[in-house]
Amino acid sequence: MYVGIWLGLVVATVAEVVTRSLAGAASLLALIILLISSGKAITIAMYYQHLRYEDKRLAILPIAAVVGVIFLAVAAAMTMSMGM
Amino acid sequence: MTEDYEHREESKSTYAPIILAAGIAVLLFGFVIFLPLAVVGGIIIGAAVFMLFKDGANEKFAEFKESVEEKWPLEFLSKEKLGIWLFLVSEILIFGGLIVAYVYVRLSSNSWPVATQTHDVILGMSNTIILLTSSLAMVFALYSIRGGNIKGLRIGLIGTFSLGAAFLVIKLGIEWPQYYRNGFTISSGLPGSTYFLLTGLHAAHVGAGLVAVGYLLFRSFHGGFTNTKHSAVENIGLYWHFVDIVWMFLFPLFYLI
Amino acid sequence: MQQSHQVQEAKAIVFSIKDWLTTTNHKQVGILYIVTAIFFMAVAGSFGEMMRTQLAVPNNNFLLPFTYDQTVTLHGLLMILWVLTPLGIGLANYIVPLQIGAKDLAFPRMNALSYWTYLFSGIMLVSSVFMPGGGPNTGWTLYAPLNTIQFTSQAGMTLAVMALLLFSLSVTMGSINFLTTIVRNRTKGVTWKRLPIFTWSIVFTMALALFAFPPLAAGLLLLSSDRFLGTVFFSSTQGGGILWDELFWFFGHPEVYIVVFPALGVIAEVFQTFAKRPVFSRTAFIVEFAAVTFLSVGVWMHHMFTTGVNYSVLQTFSFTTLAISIPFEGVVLGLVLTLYKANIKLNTPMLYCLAAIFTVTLGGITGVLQAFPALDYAFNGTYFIVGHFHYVMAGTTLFALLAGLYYWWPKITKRKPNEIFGIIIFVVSFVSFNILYFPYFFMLDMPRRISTFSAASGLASLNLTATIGAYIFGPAAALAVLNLVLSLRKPPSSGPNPWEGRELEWTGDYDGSLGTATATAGTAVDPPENTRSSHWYWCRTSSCASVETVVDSTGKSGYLKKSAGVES
Repeated sequence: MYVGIWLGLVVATVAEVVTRSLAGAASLLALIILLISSGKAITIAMYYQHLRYEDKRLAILPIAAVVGVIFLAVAAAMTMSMGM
Repeated sequence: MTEDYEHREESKSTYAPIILAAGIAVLLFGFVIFLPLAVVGGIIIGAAVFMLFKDGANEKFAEFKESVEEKWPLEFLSKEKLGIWLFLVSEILIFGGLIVAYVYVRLSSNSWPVATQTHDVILGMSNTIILLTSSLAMVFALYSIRGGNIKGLRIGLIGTFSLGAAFLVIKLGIEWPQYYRNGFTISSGLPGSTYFLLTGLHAAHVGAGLVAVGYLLFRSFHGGFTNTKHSAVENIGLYWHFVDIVWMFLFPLFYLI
Repeated sequence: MQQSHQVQEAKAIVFSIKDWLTTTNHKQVGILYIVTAIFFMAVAGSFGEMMRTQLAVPNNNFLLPFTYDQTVTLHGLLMILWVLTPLGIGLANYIVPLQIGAKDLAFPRMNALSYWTYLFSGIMLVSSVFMPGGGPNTGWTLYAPLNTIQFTSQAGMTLAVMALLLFSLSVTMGSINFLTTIVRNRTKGVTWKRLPIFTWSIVFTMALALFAFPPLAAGLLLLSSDRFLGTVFFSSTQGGGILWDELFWFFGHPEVYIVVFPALGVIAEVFQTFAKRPVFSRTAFIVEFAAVTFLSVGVWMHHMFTTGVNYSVLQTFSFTTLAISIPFEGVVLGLVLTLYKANIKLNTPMLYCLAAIFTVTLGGITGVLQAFPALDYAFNGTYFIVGHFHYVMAGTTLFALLAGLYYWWPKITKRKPNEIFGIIIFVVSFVSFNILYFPYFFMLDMPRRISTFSAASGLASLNLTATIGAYIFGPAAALAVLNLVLSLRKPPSSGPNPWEGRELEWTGDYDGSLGTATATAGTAVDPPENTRSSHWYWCRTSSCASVETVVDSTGKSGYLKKSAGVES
């Protein structure tokens, strides 16, 4: 099963590279690529790190950390909208 | 005061913490003052790490059976696993902070080179796949030892180690010199600074991971793991997969976007 | 292991250096932390006295401007990070395992590593002053682009950055250790609901530390890269300064709560014991404490109100800062209400805690005032701010942690310090503290971190008053510590529970200052159903008078039969 996941991850990686050379707005492509990589990351976390099978409460820890980072990013973005 | 000392012996003593701390301090002092001193610091760190390896192999600090009764809400977690996850929380925040800094700096700047001009996408993609495969090898190692298969454990660990080492060799030995020859260096401007700093920190984490996997290999050859006692494999695996996850974001952020 | 009595005596008498260098025992590590923190407090305190001497009169030349800048930077860094934080960590090291009935922390070696990295990082920081070119002179906030090589070229600054990185490592390891310990190593009966307030405060402290220090480390790494490798993260004109602010204050604000939380925990413990009742509305108290913790991650940009950030930032963070004052006030109110109509014992720890409540009120009010950006434009960068944070840090935190030392001293050393001396020193220190810092609230015209002022500014009398206060406060603080140390000359005299405290660290199996409070591994301590601990938490009215017996599994009893409930 894990080999299957690995295959999926490899395919996703190639997809990312391919996406870059597609025609389209740069920011839209960037968004798609980042969505793919987020998907890869979540897959690794859920399966390789076993989070899917662990008690759900364990996931609170990494999720809280990610929320913290998002918060930092949002705040940084807020300062940027003034064009600093 | 005699009774004071009796119970002291229940706690184990070791020189490793103070030596490791001294080594790190000397290393950092060396960076600032005198580079050879940093090498000395590195050696001291190595000595301390070696001491810890030995302690681990002797199971000198194996968890004593505490009268632990209350563990809600995380009673299903061993203390090492909880410790590793908490450590990963701090790692998410440090890499996250750096990535936010990178995005901030990039979006604030007037011009940023197209990724393909500065980065070798094929090399990066291959490295990504190598790292992914190393994670697979780690999972294989864990599942082997869960089933009592020590040989599989060793094969998996060797696979993880070699693929991780290959990742570093390609990055540090092939990719980076190539960039430096092209003038894309850490001080050539913000694009170079952010790339080399973030991927450099990531590479350092891969290196530390290799040391840890090396420790596991060492113990697997000395009968340290059985099908019921292998928490170190799982926990170091968690760290290894985390390093992989970070790369999942670094690769597109630098090579593709 | 059977040894002859003489050999044991010899071993015990010689508390060999090796013992302390190699220990992983939480009590010894705790003592190491406390002693080291006090040492750094002496260093940083001397810097403070030097600063006040320089500012005693206008146009003074006691310290050159560059020297003054280094002094103020080191005073700030040392006090916040190397004194107050570790003092709390040291008390936590000693007391938390006892309060939860654990044998030690979850990762004893990492605990020792945390301490030694803390010590070496502090040595590194202090030594930066002796480097050619001097030490860091940017103020403790190390703002960008002042912190870059271009503006602060001395190697001592880089050394300080390294020291901070090492310290971040130390605290991060400590936070992992404490959180794992409190989650996993509690003994039977110590449920989350029954967790002592001090341990709760450490939970919140360590959770914040886990979150706060990595972004600081990220900023420090970027700064190191700038200083070592010539990158331009913080010298860029496109947001370099703001970038540092973002990362630093994301750490910096939670840090001040990391500093103050253990102090609040100590106050709760002291109030509980000497008012002989549980903290007021315990569940609400803990919930409010948790709320402050969560919100503290979301207020940090109030340190950036005057940096020119846009209006939406001002709005948002003004709102969150005001919001956090509500649960914080709830916490303080809860502490105060614990004393309401209680029979209070006014001894040294209690007095220090009362002083801490006074200072946190004053400090808190001045803090809330700064939550309004319009007002902050007037306050920011002036001594008003300096007054605010000294009231909560030098006041609340220092007083409360000092109280903690006095309170737990009999537990740690089996001796009680001289009470009369303690009270006298308390009065002197409390009065001199206010003489020192209260004038700051009137010094709105005096910018921070300047090394001198003119006679025409009209600030001379306020500054002189403050300096006089400093000359008394510094020695008073030293005497407070000396009082504790002097008690060690006396033979062990206090019993296992001299304050009739009710938490597990007092009622556990007490068998020596460095012995463990729990029974040996494998056996549970007093099943809390029968201990005063459980009565303690659930019994808040005077109708709850009963006699309880406390017997643990080895037949020994901790502090025994007394009636619970409130005496009025």
